[in-house]
Amino acid sequence: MIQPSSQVLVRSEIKVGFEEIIGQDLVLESLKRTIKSGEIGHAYLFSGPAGSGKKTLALLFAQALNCRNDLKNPCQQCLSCRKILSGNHPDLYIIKPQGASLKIGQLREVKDSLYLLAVEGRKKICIIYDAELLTLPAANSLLKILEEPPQDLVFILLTARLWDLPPTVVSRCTHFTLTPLPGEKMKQILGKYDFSLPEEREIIIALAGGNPGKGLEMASRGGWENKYKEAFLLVKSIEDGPAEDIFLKAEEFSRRDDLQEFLELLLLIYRDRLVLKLSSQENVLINSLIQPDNKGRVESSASTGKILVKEEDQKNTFFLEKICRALMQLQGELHHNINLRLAMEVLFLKMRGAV
Amino acid sequence: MPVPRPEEKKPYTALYRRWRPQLFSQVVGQEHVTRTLQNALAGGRVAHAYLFCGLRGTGKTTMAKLLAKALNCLEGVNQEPCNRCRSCLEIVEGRNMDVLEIDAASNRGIDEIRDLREKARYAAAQNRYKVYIIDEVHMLTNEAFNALLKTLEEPPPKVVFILATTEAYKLPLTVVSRCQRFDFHLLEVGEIAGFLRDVSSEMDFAVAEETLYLLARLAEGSMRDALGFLEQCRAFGGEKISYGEALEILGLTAPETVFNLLRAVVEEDIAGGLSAIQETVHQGRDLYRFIRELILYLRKLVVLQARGDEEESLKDVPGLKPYLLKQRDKFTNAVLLEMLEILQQLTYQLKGSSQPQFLLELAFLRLVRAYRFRNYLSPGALLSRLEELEAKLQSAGLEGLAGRRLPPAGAALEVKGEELNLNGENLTPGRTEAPSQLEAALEKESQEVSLHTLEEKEVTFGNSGVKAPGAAEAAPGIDPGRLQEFWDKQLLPEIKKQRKFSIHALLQEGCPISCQEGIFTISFPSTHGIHKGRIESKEHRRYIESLLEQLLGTRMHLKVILQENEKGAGIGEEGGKKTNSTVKDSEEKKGDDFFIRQMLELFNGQLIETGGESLDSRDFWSFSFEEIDHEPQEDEEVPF
Repeated sequence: MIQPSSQVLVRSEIKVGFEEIIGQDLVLESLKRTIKSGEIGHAYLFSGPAGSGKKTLALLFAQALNCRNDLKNPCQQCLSCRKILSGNHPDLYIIKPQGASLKIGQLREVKDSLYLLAVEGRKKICIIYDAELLTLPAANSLLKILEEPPQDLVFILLTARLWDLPPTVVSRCTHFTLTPLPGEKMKQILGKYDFSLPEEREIIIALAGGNPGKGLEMASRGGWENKYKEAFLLVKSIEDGPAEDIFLKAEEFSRRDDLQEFLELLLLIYRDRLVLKLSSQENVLINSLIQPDNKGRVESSASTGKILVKEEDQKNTFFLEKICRALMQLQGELHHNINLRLAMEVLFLKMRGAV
Repeated sequence: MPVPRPEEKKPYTALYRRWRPQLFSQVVGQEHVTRTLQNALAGGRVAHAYLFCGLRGTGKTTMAKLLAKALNCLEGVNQEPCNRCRSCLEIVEGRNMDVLEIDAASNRGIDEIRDLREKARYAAAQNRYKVYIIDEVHMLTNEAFNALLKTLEEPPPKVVFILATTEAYKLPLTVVSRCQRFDFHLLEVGEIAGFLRDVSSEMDFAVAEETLYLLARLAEGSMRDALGFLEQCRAFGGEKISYGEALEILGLTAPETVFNLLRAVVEEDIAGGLSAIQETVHQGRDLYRFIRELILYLRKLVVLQARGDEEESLKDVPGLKPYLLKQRDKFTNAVLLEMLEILQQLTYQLKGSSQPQFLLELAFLRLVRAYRFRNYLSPGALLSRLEELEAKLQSAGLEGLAGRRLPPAGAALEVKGEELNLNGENLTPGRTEAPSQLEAALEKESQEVSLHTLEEKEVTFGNSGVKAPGAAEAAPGIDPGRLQEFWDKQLLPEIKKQRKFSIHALLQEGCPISCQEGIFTISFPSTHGIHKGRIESKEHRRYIESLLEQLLGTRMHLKVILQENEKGAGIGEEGGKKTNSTVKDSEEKKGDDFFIRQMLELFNGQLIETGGESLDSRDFWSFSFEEIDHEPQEDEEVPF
């Protein structure tokens, strides 16, 4: 399965102060105020999906707590800021999962040094990546130090799956949720990319679901306009084309390595069709590539390369809803060991209305 | 280069640490614990081992520290520690030699416990008692627990063990039985809110009462969580915070949004509901929390309906109160429960989903459908709508239409624009063009219905030539004489053999009528509507049909009728012997059926023999249930 790796982008994005971070206004506001007032808590928890900017924020916060020039906003110039950025600040401890989990041994290793005073900076910072991967013993062994850590120690826990974290851990931290960015902010973030067609940006924004990391990663790969068109044509050919093609197509698609994304594109199409059928309001559409006229029909304009759907959707809401569910289920199942070709055949037959 | 430091007065500590109670009287709630402990202290009957259990943030560690202080206070063992003497201060700062706080989760092995046992033998250095506070004790290994047993049962004099844990069920029973166990309760919303009020006024932090209740409610009984939320609000707000800002910083949706979404459900305003969801997403709100809020809201409606007493049932949700009161009569209990179930399912699906918005939208459609189904298609509602319709038909002078079979108004599930309005304005009797409009509307509806049934039953695949089961041509039947024999000797035993006992039991009550032209007809006595319904359920019908196909070699369509009159029973007679139940039923006159009698009374009508089952009321019900309650599901199969 393709996991968008946002590592590289995070690194390039990090060289900013608080001002340059786009979105997450509430969290930023709180953190800035915290730093300004000096009322710094001892444990913070940032939660949000992968790519939402947790690491960026955590490192920025760590820099701000230790910056030598500016007490409020990291300068990115001083030794401390640069050391934190390159990961060799003596007071910065970053704990990452070893293999599939964060083990109690890893915590034991650092715990002793955590009780020492800060060497260079004002605060010792311990950042724990993917905190949901803490094993149960590890999480429990963290509880005492997390509740009453030595002076000058600040924990920052990051997690993409808050619900997998024991409530005893969550309850000891000041918790900030990184929320999906609205479309406007995503546009801003993607602003520096030059898209051949404006629609491509729309598709990326729709697929990224307000997740800047995912959006940037997608933008760096490009080609989304064509993929979307391909998905659209596939839907058309399955619904109206010859029945035999279904099985050929199923085989073809089951071998694609971007299947997960492709399913997401299909979901986008079906979801928009469903919504269009139900409300005919443009503002709830996720993808502006499909544009309804005032009667709720979908019109096209060839000039901007918009997709051609002239007549009113013949499928009823039940059908569209069923396909949406089927797509979501299949997306979940892709992580398991399933017979891809069979799964695609079933999906396409469902789309055809045969099953 | 000197490192600049912000001017520090004293190191900042989190609220929940700063506000840890230092006296038994300051502890919020948990009176059953404080009283017992204080009485034990006053009477000099302190046990040698205590076990404190309870969920996070209920005060276990706090109580353990209090007890340690009270035992060692230099002013003597009293009901309260003095908090002034050297010993008390040392314990507060965590540097007393004789009060050992052990993190069992980090020191969980047998070696650590052996070490502890060794040291426990030495008397306290400076104080009266040696107190071991073993926190997170559930993480000790089995060996460690067992190593502790002897010491725990008969500790050296002047040693007190206090074990604290969130998961008491993980402790071996041998450990539990050696301790005095105290279960800490979750704190009530009112208690938490009261404490938050004290804290915030002490901090000069202006928070409105309803905001306090909001934080208290979110904390779900844990004081530490509540203080954490308060701290978060303070970090954002500085000196004051409004209800709206608090919602925002905690990622919650405004009660208006919840209200609007439910209003959209009630009014079937699909567009409005979808916009509300879209807006929530655009504001960057946490959808998971949104669902939780929805669930809470609906739950409060259930409580409100059950208790009726608004003051008492809504006291912990002042922020939601005006909205709840506005919607208290919009939902029946059954709807609420069904909606809650849908949302509960959604919370599981949301975890790890990449497109939570779509999931919520789909769930919203299900909510609308559930509401519509429960409210419009409950027998009572249908009856009143029928009456209404009849009245309208009469006033519009359309007697001719009145005899037609009306499809259930809700059957057309395309919840779209005008089609919804069968009960709406285009039926108003005042209009002159009513007849034609009505007719058109009816036509449209019945078309829709037939379209749906078509889709359900006869989806053809390409041009594969599979025909609908009803159209099977000139299938050989069984002549009526041998029918009963086939029924008794082949069909029923076969079903039993395949261990489908429930179907067998159902079928035993009926008898075969005919088997001709690809249709196998079964009749049940008129009182056995339930049997008929069950047999007609998709799953059973499919099973029986496939069994018939096996036995007879041709595809059979199953038809189930209710024996409503002598004529029906007569057919049964032709088949041969009659079962006991049919004899009894045929003696019951049709007028004896309670349901029919009620109908006759209600509509002031009379019974007309129709010969078929087309006017069969139960057929109507089963039809509507099938169509409306239908959720497209992945595992469902639609026959070709």
